[in-house]
Amino acid sequence: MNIRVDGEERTTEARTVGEVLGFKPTPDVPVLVMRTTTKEVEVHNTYDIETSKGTITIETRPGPVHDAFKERLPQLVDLPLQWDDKYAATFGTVPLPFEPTRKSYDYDRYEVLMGLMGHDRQQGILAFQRQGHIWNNGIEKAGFGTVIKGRSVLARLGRGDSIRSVSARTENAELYDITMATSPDVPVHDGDIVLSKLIVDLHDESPYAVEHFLFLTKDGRLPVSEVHTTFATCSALRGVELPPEHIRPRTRGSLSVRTSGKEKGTVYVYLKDVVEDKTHTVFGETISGIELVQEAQPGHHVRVEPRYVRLNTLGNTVADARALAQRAGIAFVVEGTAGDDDVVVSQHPELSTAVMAEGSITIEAVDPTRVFTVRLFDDLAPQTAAYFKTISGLKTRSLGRLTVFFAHEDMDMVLFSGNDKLAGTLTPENHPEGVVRAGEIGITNMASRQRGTIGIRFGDSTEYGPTGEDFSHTNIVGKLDNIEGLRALKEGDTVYLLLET
Amino acid sequence: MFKMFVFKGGIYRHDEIVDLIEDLGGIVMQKTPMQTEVDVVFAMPEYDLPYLRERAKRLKGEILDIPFGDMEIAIVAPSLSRHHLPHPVCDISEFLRRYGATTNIVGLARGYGKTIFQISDKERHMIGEHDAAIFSFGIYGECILLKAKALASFTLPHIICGGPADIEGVDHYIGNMGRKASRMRSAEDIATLEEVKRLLQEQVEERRKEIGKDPYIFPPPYIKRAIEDQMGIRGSLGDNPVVLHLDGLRVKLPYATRADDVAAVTVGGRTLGDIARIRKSFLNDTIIVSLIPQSELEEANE
Repeated sequence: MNIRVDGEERTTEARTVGEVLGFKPTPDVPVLVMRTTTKEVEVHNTYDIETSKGTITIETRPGPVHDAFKERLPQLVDLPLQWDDKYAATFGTVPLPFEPTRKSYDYDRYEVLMGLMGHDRQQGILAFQRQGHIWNNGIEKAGFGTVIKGRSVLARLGRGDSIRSVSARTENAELYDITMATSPDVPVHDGDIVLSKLIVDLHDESPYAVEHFLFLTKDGRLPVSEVHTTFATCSALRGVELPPEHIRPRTRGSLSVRTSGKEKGTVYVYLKDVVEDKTHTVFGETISGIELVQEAQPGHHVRVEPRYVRLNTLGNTVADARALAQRAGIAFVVEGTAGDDDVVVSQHPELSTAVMAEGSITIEAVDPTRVFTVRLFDDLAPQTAAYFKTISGLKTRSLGRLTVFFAHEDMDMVLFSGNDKLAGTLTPENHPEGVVRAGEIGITNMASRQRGTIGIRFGDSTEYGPTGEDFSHTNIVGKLDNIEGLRALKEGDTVYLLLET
Repeated sequence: MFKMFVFKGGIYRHDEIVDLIEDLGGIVMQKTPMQTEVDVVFAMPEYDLPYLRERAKRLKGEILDIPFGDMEIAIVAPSLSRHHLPHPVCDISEFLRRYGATTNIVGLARGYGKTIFQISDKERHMIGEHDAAIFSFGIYGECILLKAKALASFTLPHIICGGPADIEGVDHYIGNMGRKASRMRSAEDIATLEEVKRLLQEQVEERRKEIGKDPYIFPPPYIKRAIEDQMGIRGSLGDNPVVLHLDGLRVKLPYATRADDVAAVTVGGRTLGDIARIRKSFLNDTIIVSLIPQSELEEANE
């Protein structure tokens, strides 16, 4: 049977979603199975009348005159323009079944009506009103519709013009039968469309926004925060500052990122066309899978495949970084000396778009003993973890760094610089209970003047937190397992951090 | 089709509403903070409104319609002399402004009775540039009947006001509004003004539906923002320098020197000259931008 999977036709014998895709959808990472049937449906009471000057679209009202019009659609083709003046343009003639009358009626501008020339039933006409006026045209209440499009065509009609075709307007209505598959056992049938991921194309014109998106989806998933009729959002990187870049109208499938306001850093996937706004940088377009986002619920993760390589090597080993550069076909330069196991701590240029443009990447690496893996307690201390990620840079990069603020060989702890302004709203959460263990990362909360300071103890303490504050002034945000390398640190040194995966 | 609304609420967290309007593709036209309260006037498609209303409600604010917010309305008196101006033109004008209208009072160069009542072509065009017109006449029914005939060819939404309670044969007529020696402040007078608003709104909604069937490629509020940004009008101390119309805008700049600049404004990758007809206004040498309907643009492209 034939199935369309992520925009590609496939012939397969597979019976379930799991067999088709080769991976298992879960309640967190669902897959959309949909069947569409396209049906041509008549648009209610709307007709396109093609003339030699262009098409006039009319909307009709039910009634006897409308019925007569509808029955005579084939006879109206090739009717020449009979006469036109500033009040109306008329085409004819066609026999009409109405009893002639001498009554006059007031017809509006752009009204469509039928009439009898000389009150003769054989001399029926189809007339379009250019101006509203009172008219005795031989038929009682002859108006049956209004010109809704092509009013400029009506103004241009003149001698020699004729009707080329008349047709009831039809539209292709697509009927969807949608299943959100949350397990691999959901059956698939011939002709189904399976959407397992959002395939996106990213624009070089918005390098910062592209890097932002590539970092957000580095594990191949986009966590959905909100779904609305106009857009779906992902606010995992809410609060990240980005410069305004390529600003253009957002269309269905556009990816944009907010660059100001409380929602700055939030990524938007647009489901409808809307006008441009200077607070939204548009950085990509969807190639396939927009329906998957449309049907997703908050909390779902949508798999993402950007048609763009993320060329950020921070936190990788030199060997891995070199392999990445080779795959992308770009030159790889190491500043100084570095072994294959050393960890990349800086790269130039930093943005993937710039790396592609320059065709080379220059990195600096350090000994792996200077890089520490940190486990953050996102669930116990969410606010403090977000603060820690912002200060260390882990919010927007794979590799974080902290600067030593105070260290002394006689002290059993090390302190790192924070930001007291950012920490101004750091409410107490996840206090130590009874004892602070060696390696636990503590942050002084807003209860103390030294708020925002980050500290780690080399030994357990039952009295003071990692920053030397009371337990009530301390939020425990995470843990370092290997603290031996920290003992030799001096003021001003830099510590590199990787998040435990 | 875009419509105008106002958010009324506290200043605390009102930025969330502003951000949401921008996210939904709406356009913030004006923000007026008043101590702890704020009014945010904005235009956006109607279909997203329920969601925005719910968010506003959560912030203890409300969203109100501005039915005439994107309209310029002419209030017409037969002359500006004392013979005619005791008519309640100012009261009507003031009342419609409460619902967002930009109003212009037009005094015709006429006014010595029914027999010579006529309207010149220039006046007809000047009134026709507006989105709607309200004609304020006197207290003689027969006189109004004749004047109404002279106005029959107006295709824009309009209302005729006069003294007699009802006049047979005059469409869109509202009575009890002829010569008045005092302001319209009594309950009956205000009810009459409400009736003017209701009848006008009815016609305007029809006009909106008509536009909705063959819409413009870009909504006028979006073009207003583009003109203000690109021509450096934002921050101008002029009196409402760019006025919204249902089918375009009025730019209050001299046509002879600035029409080309208006035509060169880019919107969504196209110049305004491509998607609109730009002509000289009959009112104070300003510029009228009339948007071309989408169907006509498509036809021109073919």
